[in-house]
Amino acid sequence: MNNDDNIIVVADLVKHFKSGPTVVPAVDGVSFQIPRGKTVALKGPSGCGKTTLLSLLGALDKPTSGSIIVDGVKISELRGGKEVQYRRQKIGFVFQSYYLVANLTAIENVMLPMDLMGTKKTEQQDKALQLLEKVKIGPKLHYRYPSRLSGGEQQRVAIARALANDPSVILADEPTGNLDSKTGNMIVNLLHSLSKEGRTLVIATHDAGIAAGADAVIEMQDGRISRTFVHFNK
Amino acid sequence: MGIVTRSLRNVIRNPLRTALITIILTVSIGLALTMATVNGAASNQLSSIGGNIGTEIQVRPAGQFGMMGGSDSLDETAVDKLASISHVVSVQTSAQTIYTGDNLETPAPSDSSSGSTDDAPPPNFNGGQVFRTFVSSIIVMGFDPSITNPTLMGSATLEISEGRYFTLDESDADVVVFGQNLAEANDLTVGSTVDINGTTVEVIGIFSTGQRFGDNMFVMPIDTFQRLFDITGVTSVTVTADDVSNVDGVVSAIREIFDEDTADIVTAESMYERIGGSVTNAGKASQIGMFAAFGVAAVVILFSVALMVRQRVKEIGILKAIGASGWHIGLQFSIETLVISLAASIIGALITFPLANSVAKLLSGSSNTMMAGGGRAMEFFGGGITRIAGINVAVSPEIFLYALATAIVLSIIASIIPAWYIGHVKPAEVFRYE
Repeated sequence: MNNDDNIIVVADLVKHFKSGPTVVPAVDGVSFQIPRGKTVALKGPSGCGKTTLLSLLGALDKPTSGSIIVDGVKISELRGGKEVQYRRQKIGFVFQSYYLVANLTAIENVMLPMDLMGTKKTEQQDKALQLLEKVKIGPKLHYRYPSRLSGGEQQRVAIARALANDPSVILADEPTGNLDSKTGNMIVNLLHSLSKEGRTLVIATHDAGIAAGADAVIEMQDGRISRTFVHFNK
Repeated sequence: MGIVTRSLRNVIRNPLRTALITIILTVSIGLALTMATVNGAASNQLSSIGGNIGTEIQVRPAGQFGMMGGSDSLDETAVDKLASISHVVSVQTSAQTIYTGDNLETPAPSDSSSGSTDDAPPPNFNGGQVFRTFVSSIIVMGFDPSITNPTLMGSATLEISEGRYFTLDESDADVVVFGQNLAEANDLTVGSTVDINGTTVEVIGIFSTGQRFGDNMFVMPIDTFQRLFDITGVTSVTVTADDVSNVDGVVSAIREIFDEDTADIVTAESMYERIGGSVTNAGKASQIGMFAAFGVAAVVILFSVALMVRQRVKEIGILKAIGASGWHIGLQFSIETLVISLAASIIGALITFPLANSVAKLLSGSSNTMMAGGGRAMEFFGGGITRIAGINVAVSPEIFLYALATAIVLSIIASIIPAWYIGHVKPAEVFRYE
């Protein structure tokens, strides 16, 4: 596969954390490529480095060494405003604990990334309504605060928020981890539908359903890639 | 939703927390404002005291105390030179003696058992009245007609109750203004005439001092006084310097005119130091209190901001993850801090204003008590007690606005802290540990 077709190129990525005198290798020499529009599941036991890898891909953290290129941008070298621009325009995050802003309503949470982009308010509102409809959040829930939404509803609002600025890559960290199986399946289906729209998804998960539907599965162990299953041609 | 709207909504997001922070800030800022206004009032009072009494210099015949002893009078030619001394803004002359003629009846003696100090004559009169029964001698004083509000012996202040006081063109006219008691004892009213040492003079006014001793006097224009009582010169001169810092220089110049054998010179300096010392101490105490209160307010603001930011560190991480810049989040938190601090400052100011006024008046009250104990020295300064007590130490709006501005600046400085802290928050660490 030509490198130009890969939206994510990770090479020799290392992230160490210092814990007192001890150095913990959370990510230890990881390399992989992900083609545009594919879904990749990151699997492995807790503490194997999945979340750290997602944080590095999303420029929420800096690597100790190695390089990450996302959509042509070498994010391991981004600083300040360019890093913010990258997160704002290229990446959409979905977290296990949803992480909606507590004092904003469902629709306001979806509008927030667009507000940060400087989008006109009417456009924000129109697009937020479309996205909420897409994730099956009915009008009755639009003006509810997160505390009055169920876990599944909150996660769907979080997915709508992740899509607000039309990012090329969605990074999801255990998106079904706090949900019951029925609601989890609904979220899995929603994420797979995004993949079919041509978005690139990287999902850290223990969920077999997500892994089964992914184009590739990267298994991690102690910060390294232990196994890789690729179904990019399926 | 704009950043300001989000900030304002966050302010009311947790009403209890906002209310508690506002109350604590209100108390500390209110205390700081109180101290600031009291400090300003103390400064005003010091300035006022200095301006009013600190510049007066009394010149009297050497060895004279009240009407006791010493040389008779000051030479008028020498007195005339006082006005030409540099930094002298006014020279006021007066003279006094005891009336020993037969044409005026002394007012009836007061009850000796009551022993009121107001009724008591000054000690050691030369006149031949019965001292033990508190019979006052009749005192006569001559004033420069330019002194429109003369102070009589015993610090009594003259207030015309009937008729009028003499005018500038009556400096040598045969007119007299009688104290109320003395006028009643002699059946004198405005328009009456009376023989004083062989000259018929017209009663043009009756005055009241509120004191029996003061009301047993009569006053005349100084030239008339000198002519009728055959007195040359004056017995008291009040020289006023233009500034308290020039008093020493003026005293030196006066001393060149009147040597120590001729005149005693008394300045307000010692009294100013006593009064000013107490007010200065009060001012310093309030200044320390002000700094301490502002310090407490600053700590409360900083602590509140730190608490607010620490409690919402996850929210900061979320905002950063979805593309908010540190500057953007910092501005949002700064607006929140500023709104709460400003609200507390204004509420504190509104609550404090009457409190600050009361405390400032208390300061004034303590000064009065201290000064009332100043004794006879006070008479040198022309009714000093009344005048000092009259100094207004009420809180000035300027001082108050100045203090309020300080509180607002403090809030603005405190609101910068979230911006600094937020810049250092790493979302990955926040999510890892939350």
